[in-house]
Amino acid sequence: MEKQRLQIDFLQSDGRQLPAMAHLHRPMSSLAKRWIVACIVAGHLVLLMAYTLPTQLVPERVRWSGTFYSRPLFHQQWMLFAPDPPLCACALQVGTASGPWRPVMTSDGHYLKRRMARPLADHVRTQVLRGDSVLLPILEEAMRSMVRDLGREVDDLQFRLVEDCVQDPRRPDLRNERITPLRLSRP
Amino acid sequence: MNMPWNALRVLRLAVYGWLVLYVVTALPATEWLWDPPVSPMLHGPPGLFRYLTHAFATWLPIAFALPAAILLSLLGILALFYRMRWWMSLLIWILFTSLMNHAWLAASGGHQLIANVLFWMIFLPTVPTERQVAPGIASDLREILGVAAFWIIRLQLLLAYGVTGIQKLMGYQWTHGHAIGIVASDPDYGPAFLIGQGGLLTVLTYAVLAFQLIFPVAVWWRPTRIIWMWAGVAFHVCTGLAFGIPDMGLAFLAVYPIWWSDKVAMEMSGRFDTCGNRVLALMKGRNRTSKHD
Repeated sequence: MEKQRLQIDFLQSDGRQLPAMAHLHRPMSSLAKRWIVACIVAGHLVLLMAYTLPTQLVPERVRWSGTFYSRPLFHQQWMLFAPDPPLCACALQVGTASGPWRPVMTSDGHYLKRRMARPLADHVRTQVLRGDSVLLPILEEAMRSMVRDLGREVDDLQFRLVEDCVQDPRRPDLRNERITPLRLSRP
Repeated sequence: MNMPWNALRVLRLAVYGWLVLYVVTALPATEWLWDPPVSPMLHGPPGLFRYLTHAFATWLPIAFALPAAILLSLLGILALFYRMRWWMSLLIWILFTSLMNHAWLAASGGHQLIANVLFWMIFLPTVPTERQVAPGIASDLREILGVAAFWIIRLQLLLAYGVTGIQKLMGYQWTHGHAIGIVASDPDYGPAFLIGQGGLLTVLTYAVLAFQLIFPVAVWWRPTRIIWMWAGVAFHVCTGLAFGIPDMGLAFLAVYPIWWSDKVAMEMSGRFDTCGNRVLALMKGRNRTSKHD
């Protein structure tokens, strides 16, 4: 009976015999497996936390290790409206020397198309705040892509950044508008 | 090492269901998202992995973006009905991550969460370990990786909420109760009807902060788990509708089943099965009546 049970143990699910060496494998104890799992999970979690937690809380060397480990495969950022929501509502507008200004992305389109305009405007604003007078080529390329239909018909496109900024966080409905013309690398 | 197999089954259904829904709804915006993309091309971090996560910026021509999206939705549909082999899960992760990074301006935290979950789902076992008859080092390794992947997905969800809460503590507007007011008055977010509701805005700000900071503990501890998950459903439905980010909210909700017990998962999947059977029966009934007509 015992012999029969052992034979069944070393049969694969499709009934084929396992390779000759298979019975020499000593099964790993459940405790050892649990320890290995705990180490993998804890290591992953610690490195991920070093990558995602605020920079003030993580020593620089630990953060470097976290970035080295997490950035290639596990990139993530949990900073929607954090540490503070943006005080300025930014929008990019396009126009010509003679024509009216309009948003680069119209609000009646696909929800994913609408969503792209805001992060791009935020990136442009960051660059403007840094004092760069000419936009980075990749940002300019993205803005031109957003108005690609217009761009075919009109040569002389101009862009501007419109910011509606909260002055007093206790009265966020009172906002001041600020318009910044954007300088492009090519007309 | 035991795992809640019914919960894993519901997790798979929810995550692949989200994937199919997202890709199918994104297809009409292909000319903005993928071919040619509005998002500036990013080549990813240095190293070999960028060939997997940024395929369109490294080796795959942009013209393949639309076929890749169609293939991804088909694989997602297959995954809803059949067990995925590890290499098919790997293919799904590569396609999704590459398409997400190709249209990074349209991506959100929800997409990043799903990308991470899809990666670890490659290692999740599809058959209970006691049914894997062949013993050996490979089987031990598979079991270890499977259980590790299960716990990493569980903790990934908690980490997302916990870290975003801690990030908010580092600022000024959340700790002083102004944040929701600022968001509500932003024309890109809203909802505008909250503007001017001083006291309510302060309460909402602290409520959101408390919800996110307590989430990891409340979900870890079994008695408060379901209550906090219902709060999460309300939170994601409201923010999804108000901010126009329904896909982000649904992405978080799709990962909730990883924390369900087998009993709850069985009840839920039973309800889905009953609904599915009713729909099938209804369709069969209609076919019969149309044949009689």
